[in-house]
Amino acid sequence: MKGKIIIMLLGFAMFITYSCGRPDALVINIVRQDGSVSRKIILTYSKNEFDLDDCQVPVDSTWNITRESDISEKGDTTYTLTAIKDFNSVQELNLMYDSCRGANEGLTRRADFKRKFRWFNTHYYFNEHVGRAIEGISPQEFFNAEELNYFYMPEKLVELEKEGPDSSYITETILQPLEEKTEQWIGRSLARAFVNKIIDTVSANPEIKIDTGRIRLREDEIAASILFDEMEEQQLIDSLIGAGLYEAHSALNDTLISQIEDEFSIALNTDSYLIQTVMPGELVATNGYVDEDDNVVWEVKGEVILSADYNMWAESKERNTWAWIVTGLFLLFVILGLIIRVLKR
Amino acid sequence: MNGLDKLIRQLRMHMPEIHERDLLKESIMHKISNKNRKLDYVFGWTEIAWLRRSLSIAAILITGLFVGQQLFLIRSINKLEERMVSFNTDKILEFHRENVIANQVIMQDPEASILADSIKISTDDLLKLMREYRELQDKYDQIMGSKKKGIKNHTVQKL
Amino acid sequence: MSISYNISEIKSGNRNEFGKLVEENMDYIYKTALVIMANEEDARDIVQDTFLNVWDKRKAIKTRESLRPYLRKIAVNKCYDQLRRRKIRKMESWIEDESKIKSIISDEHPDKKLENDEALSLLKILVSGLSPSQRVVFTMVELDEMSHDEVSELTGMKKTLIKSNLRHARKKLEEKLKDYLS
Repeated sequence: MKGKIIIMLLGFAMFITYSCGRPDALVINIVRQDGSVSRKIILTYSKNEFDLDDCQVPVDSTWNITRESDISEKGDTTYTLTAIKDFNSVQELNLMYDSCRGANEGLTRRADFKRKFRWFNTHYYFNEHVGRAIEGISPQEFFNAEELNYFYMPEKLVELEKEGPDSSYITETILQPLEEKTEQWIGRSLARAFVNKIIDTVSANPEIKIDTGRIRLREDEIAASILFDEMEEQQLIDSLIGAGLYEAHSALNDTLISQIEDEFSIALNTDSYLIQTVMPGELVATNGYVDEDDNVVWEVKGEVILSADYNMWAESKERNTWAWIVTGLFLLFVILGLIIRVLKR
Repeated sequence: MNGLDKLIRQLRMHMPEIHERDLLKESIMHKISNKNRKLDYVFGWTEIAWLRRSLSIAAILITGLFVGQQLFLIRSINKLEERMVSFNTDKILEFHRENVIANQVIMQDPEASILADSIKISTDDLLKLMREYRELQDKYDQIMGSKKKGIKNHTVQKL
Repeated sequence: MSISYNISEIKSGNRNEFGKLVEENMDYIYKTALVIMANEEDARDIVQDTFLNVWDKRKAIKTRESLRPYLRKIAVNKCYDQLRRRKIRKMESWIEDESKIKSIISDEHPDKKLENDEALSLLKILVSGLSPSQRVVFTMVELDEMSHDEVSELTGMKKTLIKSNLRHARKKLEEKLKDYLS
């Protein structure tokens, strides 16, 4: 078990630093007042090879697709595929996610739109939700605010920061320690997920007599074992659930491990992509990042969905001019009435 | 009966009569006829206590709602703008450098170098300037890029 | 006293009926205002304001009986408000016709009818220099011959306050007359 997890961990660490050979994907959601969404997917790649069935986000031949190519100063050609489709509602978008077969098909994705009438203004709320892969430690629990900022930050913005005037400070004091801390966090998250799985299984199976509290207390040991390879596989299992129990319940243990592997592989296999949301009216709040062109962007990447749901939301407002006029007239009417009454007296 | 009582008695007996009585009545009737009937119709509610109170309370509440909403929005937008500014730090620095140059070169202000470090500018203006500056920068890059590139191949293919 | 006007009609905005109300009550309201204000113009304004006020608030009229007490209350309140707003009213000059006052007091012509301006001058002597409360109480009790209960109901003052205002007003006036006649 441990061997497999360590391999996966290494794979993940490599994965978060090196992107695999797929086109870069940018998803632009143009949200309208009525809740309809125009989705534009821009794929850029060095080869003119776009496999729509293996894209980071669902796209098929029903979309309006155009292709372009651009030759740089150095003579490199960049190919761009743009796909556009209008969705009447987020439900249609969610139906598309449900039937998704592509690079990120394991992800649980949902879009949500709300319109709130607030008399003077109408607020619009749009959220793209990606469900977590494992029941580990949430990043909010593990990282501080500054680290979280860089943890969720899209790679292209991190690169911009690296090129900025504080590049050495950011690299040395934030990014490098964050990288190490992320590794720790992945190990601990896996350990937590493993413990959670054992406890759930044991609780549901009265035949197995294991002290779950003791297992919970030894979560750090499991994490250390995953991270530093301190114990042999048998030793680890025995130390957790007692000598001989592994053999007795080996089938059960294998199921647990395969479940964790499956869940972990969702994050491991996540191919990152950028989401950009254009809201109707004036943007008032978001948890996204503002790029150099004032666009609100998020990056869906393996680590951000590993052990916490990722909600990419934006809220905007539009002034209800008619409500302002009606209110103004009403106030004028009341104030005038009261003034006239006072004057009459 | 003292002097005061005598005066009072005399007054009671001979209270001054109303002078030009008909004129006064006519004036009253004229004023009520000329009163703006439409105004009375529109503002008649002010004479009904419960309606007056209800509308006054509604007016206060709606004003409170307006102020509350606007304050909340302003705070949210300010927070957002702070984040936008922090993510565009490079641009701000570029802008700042440009501003210093502008003061020193264009305005020929001997104190420009001192003043340039203490320029005060609103966030909105700053963002506007930054956008304009960026647009200019982009145009410049495009011009320079197209000169260097020589060939730019664009093929648009619809599937 | 029979009422010639129909209150329901007035409430529904009938100007003719309102005219009857004015006709029937304007002398009375005028006298009430005049004794308090001791000024013809002020009294006329009060009469006018009182009826206009009643017209404006006709829908809120609750009484099914005579409107006279209601009108009187409005008029007295308006007088009182105006006196208070003026704070210290300029002391009106004492009567020019010294002999007239002396003749009234000395009882030389007790039944001789006073002309309007004479009566007004006399009124001014009586009320000038009194505080608004004293003025209202004195004129209502002594000249309008109202009971203390009526004054209390109209002004909202307690009876003890009415008595004290009346006593002070009388004392002040007696001293003033004594000075004047000496």
